[in-house]
Amino acid sequence: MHSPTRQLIQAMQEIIDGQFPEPVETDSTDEIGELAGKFNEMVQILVQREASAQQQAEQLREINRELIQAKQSQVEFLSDVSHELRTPLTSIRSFCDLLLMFGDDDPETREEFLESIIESCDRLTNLINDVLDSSKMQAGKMGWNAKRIDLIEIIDSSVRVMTGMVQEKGLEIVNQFSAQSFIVEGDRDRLVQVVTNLINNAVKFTSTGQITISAEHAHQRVKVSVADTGKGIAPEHQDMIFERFIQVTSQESGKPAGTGLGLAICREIVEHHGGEIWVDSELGRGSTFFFTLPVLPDDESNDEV
Amino acid sequence: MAPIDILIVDDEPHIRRTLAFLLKKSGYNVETAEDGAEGIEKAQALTPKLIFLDIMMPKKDGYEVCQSLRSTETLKEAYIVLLTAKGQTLDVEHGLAQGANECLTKPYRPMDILSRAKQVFQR
Repeated sequence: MHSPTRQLIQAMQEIIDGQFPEPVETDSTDEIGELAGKFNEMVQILVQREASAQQQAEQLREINRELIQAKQSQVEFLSDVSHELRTPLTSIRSFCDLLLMFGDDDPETREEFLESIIESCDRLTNLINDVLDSSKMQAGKMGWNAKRIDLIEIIDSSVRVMTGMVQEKGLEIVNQFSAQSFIVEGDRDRLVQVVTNLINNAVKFTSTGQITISAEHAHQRVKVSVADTGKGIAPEHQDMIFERFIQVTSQESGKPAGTGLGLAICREIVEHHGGEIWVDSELGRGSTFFFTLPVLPDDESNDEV
Repeated sequence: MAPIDILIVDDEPHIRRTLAFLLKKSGYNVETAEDGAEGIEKAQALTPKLIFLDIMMPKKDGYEVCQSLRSTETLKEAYIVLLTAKGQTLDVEHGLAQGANECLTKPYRPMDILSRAKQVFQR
């Protein structure tokens, strides 16, 4: 066994070489013994600091990875947006060219072309609104207007907005509510946007049958479902459709109308309210979209109704 | 089936409508297809001399269609114009490598379309 001083010198050399030494063992009760004790404490602190520095470095690396990924998805988002913008722009441009060239030939064609231009303009407007909503939500810059509201009222409003489109396709909306009211705290307009969007999708992908909207209590939450009798969604697509600009094309209908942002926005809104959104579907057997929201105790609602 | 002059393959109804309208007005015999698979089918059946082909389509994209058309004996000489909405050089190069004659970026002008037709049918 080396002398305590020699052991200390060796231990210090190990630190200089980038190693952490074993504790210096000594029975000495003099100042050398005290020095060895303090030295051991110091080494322990160094070991802890090293570990926490490594942990922090790993966290930073993780954050860096996320930032790079976010940057990448932003670039992809921009490229998707520009593609989606260019399509209706091309239509508008082409119809205008044709009107200039052949506009006087036939009033019926002129009317058709003008209507198509309006339709493309509406599509552009919707796209721009959705892009703004989506990027505000992603950046956490969305202004939320939270109030106590009844989800039944939200559903009723949404159904009213969609009535025209539902009747036009000869479909029917059926409500199944297990209670008089479901009080939640949330942004009314945004929640209407969610329900309207789900009904809109249901109508779009259903050619015959009905759309059933239900609301029921489920563990301190309200669970809303919008079920259609449409063509359904293949299992491999069921998670994807909540991603931005992922649209599922099909043999019968080809490219669906819409911005490709609707369900991504729905998910942002529902998750902001502390809820979840998902779909249950089988090809050829229709789809049911669900979302949940935390419910508030019902006591005050009765006074309001 | 009787051969046609021009085939338009695009999943956007407005694009099909405007292109077909313009080319029919100019006296060409035109057919349209809504997706890649239908595009291949119609091209093989109708042997058009000129094909306007969208790149981003469901089922089979423009590149795949292009490749498949070039491997059909009767379509080896067809003039294929790819329509791209992105206009990135990468798309263009990839398209030409698959056998397309050229790429047009959306939005294009009607004159761009008509001049291609004129060029092809004068030969």
